[in-house]
Amino acid sequence: MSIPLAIFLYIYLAIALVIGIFTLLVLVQAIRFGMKTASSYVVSLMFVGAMFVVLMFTFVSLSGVDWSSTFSISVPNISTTPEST
Amino acid sequence: MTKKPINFPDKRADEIGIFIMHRHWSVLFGRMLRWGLLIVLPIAVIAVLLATGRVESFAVESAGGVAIVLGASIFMLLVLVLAFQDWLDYFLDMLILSNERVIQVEQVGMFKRTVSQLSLDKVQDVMVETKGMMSSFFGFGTLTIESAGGELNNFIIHNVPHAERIQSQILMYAKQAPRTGVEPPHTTPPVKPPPVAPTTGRL
Repeated sequence: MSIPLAIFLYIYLAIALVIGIFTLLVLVQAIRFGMKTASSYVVSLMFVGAMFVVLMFTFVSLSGVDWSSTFSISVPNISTTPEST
Repeated sequence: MTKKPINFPDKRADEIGIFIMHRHWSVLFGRMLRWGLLIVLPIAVIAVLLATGRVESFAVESAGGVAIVLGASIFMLLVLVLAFQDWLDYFLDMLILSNERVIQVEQVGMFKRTVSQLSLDKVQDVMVETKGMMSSFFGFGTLTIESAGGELNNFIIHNVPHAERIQSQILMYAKQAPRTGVEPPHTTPPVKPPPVAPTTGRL
């Protein structure tokens, strides 16, 4: 059974999008709840920056991958017909 | 030089902020150390594998290599977002003292928050409990503010830095707060009852 390699990328992008939206929600909530000092903004920026670095590192290390290729996994052939004796 | 006024959410017009206090830094340090180890450990394992020659290189071109890189990236992003949430939880938990009340803000997770407040005239006693070696060494403790409303309305705040200093400050401002429950002494003369008209009829 052959599976396109790009499926990994789609799953990754979907999870990264969910994490990104969650981070944005967390930031908005924090600002609503009183995160208004400069130091808190700096720390938040550091966390978001670190996440951005991880994303960039991932994209750079996977830039040479041919996403149109496929890979195959072996599926065991399970027969449902009874064996003839 | 004038002191910068302390602002906090829902501050009243005539209210003066005395301090805003977060938990002791060792609480945040312990949490961040845990998340830091989770990020550093996989990198250290890969570095050791490469250094000892057990693995020649990570072939990213293969499907397995791609899955490992993407999986590691998701793991790192998750650890970072959870560490960020933990930091915000620490940052948004606070004890505020003003000249009128004590406000305790407790952030539970990211979308739940409890704000309790106690009028300074209702403060009956403030207790500090320092337990354990770390607590004694770093000088933090558990602060219990007893209120007139009973044990259920007491404020209990764990890992408070400089707990004794905060205790004495709360007690000092509580002593200065006007007691609303006590009747003020009368300053105006008592009103005379109206004269009773003489009765003429027979009983």
